[in-house]
Amino acid sequence: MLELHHVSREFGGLAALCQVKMVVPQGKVVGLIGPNGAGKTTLLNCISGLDSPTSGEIIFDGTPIHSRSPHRITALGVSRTYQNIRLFKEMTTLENVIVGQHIHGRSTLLHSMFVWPYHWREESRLKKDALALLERFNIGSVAHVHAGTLSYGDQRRLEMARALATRPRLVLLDEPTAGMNAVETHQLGEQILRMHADGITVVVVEHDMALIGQVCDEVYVLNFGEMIANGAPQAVKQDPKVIEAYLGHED
Amino acid sequence: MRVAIVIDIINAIFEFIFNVLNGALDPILTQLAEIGFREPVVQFMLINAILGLSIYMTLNCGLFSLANAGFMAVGAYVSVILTQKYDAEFGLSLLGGALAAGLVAIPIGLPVLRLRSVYLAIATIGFGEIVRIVVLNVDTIATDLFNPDEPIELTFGARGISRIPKLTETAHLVFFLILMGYLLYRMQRSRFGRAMTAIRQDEKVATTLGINVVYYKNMAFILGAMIAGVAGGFSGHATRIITPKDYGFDKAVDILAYAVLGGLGHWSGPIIGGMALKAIPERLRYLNEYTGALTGAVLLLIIIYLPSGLVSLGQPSFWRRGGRFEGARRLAGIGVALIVLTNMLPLRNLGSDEVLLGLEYWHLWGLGAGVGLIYWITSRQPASTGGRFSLPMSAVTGLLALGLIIAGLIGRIDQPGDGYYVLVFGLLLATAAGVIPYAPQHTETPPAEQVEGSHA
Repeated sequence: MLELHHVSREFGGLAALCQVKMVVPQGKVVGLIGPNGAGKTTLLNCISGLDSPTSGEIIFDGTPIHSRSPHRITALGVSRTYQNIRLFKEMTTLENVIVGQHIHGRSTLLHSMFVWPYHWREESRLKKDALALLERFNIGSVAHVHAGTLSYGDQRRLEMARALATRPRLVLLDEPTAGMNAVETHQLGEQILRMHADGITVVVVEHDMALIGQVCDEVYVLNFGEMIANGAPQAVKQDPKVIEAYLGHED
Repeated sequence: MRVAIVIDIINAIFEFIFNVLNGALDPILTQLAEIGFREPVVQFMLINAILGLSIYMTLNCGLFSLANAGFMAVGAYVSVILTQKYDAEFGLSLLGGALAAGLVAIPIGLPVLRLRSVYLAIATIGFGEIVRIVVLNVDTIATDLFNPDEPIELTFGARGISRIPKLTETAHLVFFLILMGYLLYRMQRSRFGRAMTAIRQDEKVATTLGINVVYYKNMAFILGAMIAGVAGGFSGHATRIITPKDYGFDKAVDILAYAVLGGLGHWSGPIIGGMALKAIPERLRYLNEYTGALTGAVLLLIIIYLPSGLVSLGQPSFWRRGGRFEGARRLAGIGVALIVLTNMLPLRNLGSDEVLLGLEYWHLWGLGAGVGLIYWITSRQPASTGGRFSLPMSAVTGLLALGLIIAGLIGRIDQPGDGYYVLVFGLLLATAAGVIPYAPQHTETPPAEQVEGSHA
C-alpha cells in the first residue's frame, strides 16, 4: 500500500533521513520506533506532504506522492495525527471533526448563501457522521465544548477522530499515547485495533513498547535517519542493533 | 426585448426595497441628526462598516493584509469613471468597481499570499502604494504612449476626479450591509467558512485535512477586494471628489484598525469597529486639533482593556463582577466621567496658536500618549502573553517610540490628524508583533510543546 524507496531528507548538511526503505502492506498495523531525534516525525511529514524528501520515492497505492501537495495526498486517502496536539482550539469538538470531513462535502459558498436544500442535506449528513465518530471515541458528550478546554486524553482522542473523518485508507499516528497512563494507552490500542478491523492501514510512531506489542504486525526501527531493523515486534526487541541504538554499546 | 423587461423588473424590485428601507430609516436618521450625527456622517459610518467587513474576510482566513485601501481605490476610480464618462447606472458601476478590484486581486494574491504575517502586511502596503502611484501617473503615461497630441484624461492625476454625481443613498448602504452581513452569517456556518477558520487557526493541519489552502486564501483575498471595491464606489459617489491620496497608507491602517477595534471573534466586530471609528472623532470634533490625539488615546484604551475588541461587550462574562474585564468596566466608568467633564470644561477655547518650542500642543499629547503607552505595554508584557513577546520585538517597539519622538521633533507630523495615525500604526505594529493579542486568547496554558518537524 505504501512504499518508500531510498527516501532521504537533508536539512543543510544534516541528513534527517538517509536512504530509508519501508514497505507497509495493505491492512497491517506497522510500528515505527527509534530514539529521540531519529527522524520519525520527519518521515511522517514526508509521507503526508508537509515536507518533501530531497531524494527517493514515496509510492502510495501505485501513485507517487513525494511531490504532491498535502491536500491532494489527503484526498488519495492518507490522514495523520500530530505528536503535539494540534486541534482547532476555538472550534467545538464537533466542528473539529466536521472540518475533517471537508473533502467529503461538495457545497460551495453559493449553495450556502442561497440556502440550497442540497446544503442542508449535506450539513445534516456531515453532522450525523461526525457525531457517530465522536461516539466511537467516547467523546460524544463534549461535542459542543470548545476543543481547547477538553482534557488532555479527550484532545488526543479528538485528534484521532478528526484524522478518521477524512475517511482515510492509511492513517499515520505520531505518538498517539504521549502523556497517557497505562489504562488509557491500552484503550487507545483497542481503538487502533478497531481501525485495523475496519480495514484501515496504520503506521504508528510510538515509544510505548507495550502498545507496539499490543497492536503491531511489524515494526521498523529508525536511528539517526537510517532504518536499522525491521520485523515482528518480539524479534526486533532482541535485535542487537536495536538494543545498541537505545542503550549504547559496551566498550 | 426580453432583456429590457428583466432589467425593468430588477429595477422595480430594487426601487421597492429602497422605498421600504427609506421609510424605515427616516425616523432613525432624524434621531441621529438630533444627537449630532447628520446623514453624511451616518453614510461614512456605513461605508466604514463595509470596509471593516472587507478586511474581516481576509483576517478571518489568517491573512494579515493591508491591501484593502488599494482595492478601494480601484473600485472607486472604476465606478466613478463608469458613471461619469459612460453614464452607467449606479448599481452597474458599483458592480464594475467590485469586479475590477476582484480581477486585480487575482494576480496580486497568487504570489503575495505565500507570505505570512508581518511580511504579508509589508507586501500588501507595497501594493497599496503601487495603486496610488499608478492612479497618479496613468494619464501622463497613457498620453505619451497612445496619443501625444491630445491628452488622455482618466484619473486627472493628483487633482483627482471632481464633480462626481452624488448617488450614494443611506438606503443603498444599509441594503448592501445587510446583504454582506447575511453572506458572512451563512459563510460561518458553511463548509467554505469552516475551511477558512481552520486555515486561520492552523494552516498545516488544515492542509493535511484535505483543504486546498491556496484556493481558500485567494478566495478570501478576492472576496475582500470586491467588498472593498464596492465600498470605494460608494465613498466616491458620497464625497463627490476622489484623489489618490484618499486611498494611501493612512486608509490602509485605518481599515485594519476597524477590525482590531471591533474584534475578530465575530463578523459583526469589524462593522461595529468601523462605525465607532467614524463616530468617536465626530463626537470629539469640538476639540479641533486635539481630536486626533484623543481618538488615538480612546482607541488604545479600548484595545488594551478589550483585547478581543468591542464585541466582547456582548459577552456575559464582561458584565460579571470580578471577572477578567473588571479593569475594562472601571475604565468605562472613568471614560464616561471624562466625557462628561470635557463637555463641561471650555477645552474648545484652546487655540492652535499656543505653541511650545515650535511644537503645537497636540504633538505633545500624541507623543506623550504614544511613548507612555508603548513603555507601559512593553513593561507588562512577558507575563501576560505567555511568552509570545520576545526581546527583538521589544527592541522594535522601543525603536518605534524613538521614531515617534524624532518624527514629532523634526515636525514630520505636520497635520493634526497625523498624530492619530502615528498612534494607531504604532498600536497595530505592536498588535502584529503579538504584544497585544488580537485573536481571542485562551486562559489555559497549552501543554509544553515539543519541537516538531525539522529535527525530530
